[in-house]
Amino acid sequence: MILRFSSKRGLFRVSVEPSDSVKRVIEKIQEFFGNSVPVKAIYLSKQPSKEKVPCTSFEGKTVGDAGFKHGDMYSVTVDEDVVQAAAPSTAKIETKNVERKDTISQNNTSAPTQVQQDDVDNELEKERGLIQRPRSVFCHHGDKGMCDYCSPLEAYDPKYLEEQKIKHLSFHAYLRKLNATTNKLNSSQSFIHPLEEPDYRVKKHCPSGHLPWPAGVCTKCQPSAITLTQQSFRMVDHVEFSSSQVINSFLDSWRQTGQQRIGYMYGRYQKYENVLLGIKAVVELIIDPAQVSESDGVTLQNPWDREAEVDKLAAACGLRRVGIIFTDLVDDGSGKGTVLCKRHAGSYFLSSLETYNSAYFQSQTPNPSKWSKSGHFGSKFVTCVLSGNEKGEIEVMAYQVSNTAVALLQADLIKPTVDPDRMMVCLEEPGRYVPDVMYSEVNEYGKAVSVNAKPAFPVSFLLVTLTHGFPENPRPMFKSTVSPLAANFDAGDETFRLRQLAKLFEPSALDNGSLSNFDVLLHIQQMGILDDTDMRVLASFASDPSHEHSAELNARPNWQTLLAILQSSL
Amino acid sequence: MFPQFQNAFASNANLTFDTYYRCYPTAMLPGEERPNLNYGGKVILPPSALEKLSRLNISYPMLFEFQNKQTGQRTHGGVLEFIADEGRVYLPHWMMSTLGVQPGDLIRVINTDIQQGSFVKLQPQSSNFLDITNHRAVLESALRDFSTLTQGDVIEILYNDQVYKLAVLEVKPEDGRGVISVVETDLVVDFAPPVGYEQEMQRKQQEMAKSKVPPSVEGTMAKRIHYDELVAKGSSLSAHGSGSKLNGKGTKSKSPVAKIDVTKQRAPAALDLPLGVYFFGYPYVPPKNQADEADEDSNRFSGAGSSLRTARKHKKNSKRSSGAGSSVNPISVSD
Repeated sequence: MILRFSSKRGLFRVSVEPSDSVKRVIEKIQEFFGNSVPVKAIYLSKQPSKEKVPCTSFEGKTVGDAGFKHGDMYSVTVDEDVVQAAAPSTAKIETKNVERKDTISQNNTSAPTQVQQDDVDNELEKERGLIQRPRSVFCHHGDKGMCDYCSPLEAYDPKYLEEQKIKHLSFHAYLRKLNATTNKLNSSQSFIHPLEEPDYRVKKHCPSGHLPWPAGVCTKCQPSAITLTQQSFRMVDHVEFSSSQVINSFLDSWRQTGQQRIGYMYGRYQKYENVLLGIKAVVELIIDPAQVSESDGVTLQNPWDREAEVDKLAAACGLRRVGIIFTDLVDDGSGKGTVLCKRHAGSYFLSSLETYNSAYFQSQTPNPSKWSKSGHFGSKFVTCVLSGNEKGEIEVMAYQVSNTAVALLQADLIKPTVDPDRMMVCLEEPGRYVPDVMYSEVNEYGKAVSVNAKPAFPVSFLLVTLTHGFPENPRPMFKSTVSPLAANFDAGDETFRLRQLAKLFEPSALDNGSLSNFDVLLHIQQMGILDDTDMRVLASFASDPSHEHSAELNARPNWQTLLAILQSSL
Repeated sequence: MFPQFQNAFASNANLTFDTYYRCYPTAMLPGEERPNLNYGGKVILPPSALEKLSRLNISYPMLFEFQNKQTGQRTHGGVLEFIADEGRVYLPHWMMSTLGVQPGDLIRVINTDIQQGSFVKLQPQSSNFLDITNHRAVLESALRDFSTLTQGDVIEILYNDQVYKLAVLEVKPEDGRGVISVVETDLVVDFAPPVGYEQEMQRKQQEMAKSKVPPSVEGTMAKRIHYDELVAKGSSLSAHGSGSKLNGKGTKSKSPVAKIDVTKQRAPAALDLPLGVYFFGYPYVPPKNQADEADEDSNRFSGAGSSLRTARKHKKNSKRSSGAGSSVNPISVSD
């Protein structure tokens, strides 16, 4: 017999036998909705307005017993909240191999993509985000009235941005702008994703039916001509270091050896008050991975064997990898401690090689977004450079690369050059389709013309500048950035290590935050006595050694085991 | 009381070895050339000296004081061989300068006792002494050829085909004469900064501050990835290939990194490094200050003009056009 189901997505028919189990029907319904819908979220009703019955009530019965008759029409509704809660977060922060769809998919979802966005994104979406304007000269109404000149502006109002000389919108302001045009006019039924990640690869399995490239290509599957422009928005607006100590201890290695250093920044994303709907990355910790340092360069070593542990402990502390920072400092020989100013408007800001690397890192840490068809859009990964400013002082410069850069990298279209200010477009080769790449420039006659980006184009088209700063009242998560353990800690044997650690566990030391150091916590984790939840409690205790945290920690049995072991080593 | 005996004693009782010889540089010693004689502290005496010395009651090793009667300058040394011609003593070159004698002058040679030394302070006369890696080994081997060190000497030693001059500033134990014996002794050696050291340091610093060329041009990573070769490749790709002359030889097209302007190349070479490699050794471009810009502006519009009067004379040269597609405008012809 045939059962008919009508839903928001359309009608569909299921053909079953009365003796079949209801499970088959439910499976068919799930298939229609894309397999990510759990059973308990599906409701059936005879008519849309009548009462809804959850599918779970039919479990175990056969089709005939459940009361389904041939030709019945049921209306199916899916409970969104349940679906979201059950849906696995498709874009975890640590995924390394995110496959981007290069097929022309017929993904006709008419609702925002089901992904778990970052907390800060959810927080900012709830805000209205209007720019308040005070009473102006042109207002001819009373105090309580409002007119066109003083009504609040939208965050993306172009005149306001020009006045304030804001070059880049914050991500959520940009999102509001797009949503205003694409989704206000449409009815609530159909939903067009406002965000789309650029993809410059040739699409395989073109529906036109010809052989995939290089055998055949048509306008549907070939990438269109690319026009490089400055990205009008930026995913993160500001980088804040929780205390100046974080940067200082990172610089110490350069101060002592004169060789450049690179480190991963760990922290979290929060709302940024100074920019409307802005996001800031708060950096709590800089960890140096395995690297080879030289006076004019630095090379990351793969693999870095402590990567998994560091990431695990960072997650326990509530931190994640927010960016990368490296030094480019050359002493200018005057003996005053000033450095050469290598990066300025006349030379380059971020060299093509660094832009390429940052684009790679950004492609590896995609930002989950339900407003994008693919489930992610851009990245919140930040790149910071420690170099000399015009006065010769050491300063942080923070950048991100544009989504176009990431797409160009993934399509293998760009390559860094020996000129740090220019990026080259790769040559056409078998296996690589290179579309036309253009950018706009003001030529010598003052006209804006379109220039071919081949063979090389200025890197500044791919960059977005961020501000940086330090909080007025620093409250860093980790009290000390330099490890209180002796330098030869790892070299010592078990008893030596236990004794060193035991010194930090004396009550007076504990209260003063002796455990408030990432290195110490890492060694404690390596001991293997505390499990994940214990580590999380310990981390919150370490950053804030209050009574409630210590009470919580003392209640945990593994913690007591650890204390006993350390006590016995003394 | 007994004047005859006195005279007899005076002439025969040679209780000390105290004679005059004519001094010559060791280079003039007949026979094969022995260059390392010049870089020691031992002289060559005639065989008669050996006979006289052996009859005397002297302490070994045989150490002598050399005096220049006219100037009073003194130094000390040991003896290497007794093969000199009679009446002559052959000295190392530095000893002749220390005594201030010319070849053929008379010097007084006196046998003396000198106590063993414990400490000496040396001052190199030029800073290339600092380039030696193992000073201890060099000095140990060089001072083997010396028997004494006198305060005020400027000795010369040879190492690796290079001559190094060292001034003896101080010796211990002090005995009034300022000389120590260095035969089979362990000396504590102290060095004073080489002559002219401080000025050199100042000069180096000034150079660094002025030129502002970062040392990264010769940095280790730049060498490793052959940055300069890549840059040269880029420039050869863009404008010129290798030229060839009519005589068959090609032109050399080697230019150092500092001279090739990477920003002016049309097609810079790719920097194909694996992911995770960061290179900072690009040519340094100092930031433009406002002062520089002001200077530029003042010179901008003061060119040398030309007038029509001279146009006839330079008819041949005026064919040079001044810009792309500009009409004949004599004033803008470059002079």
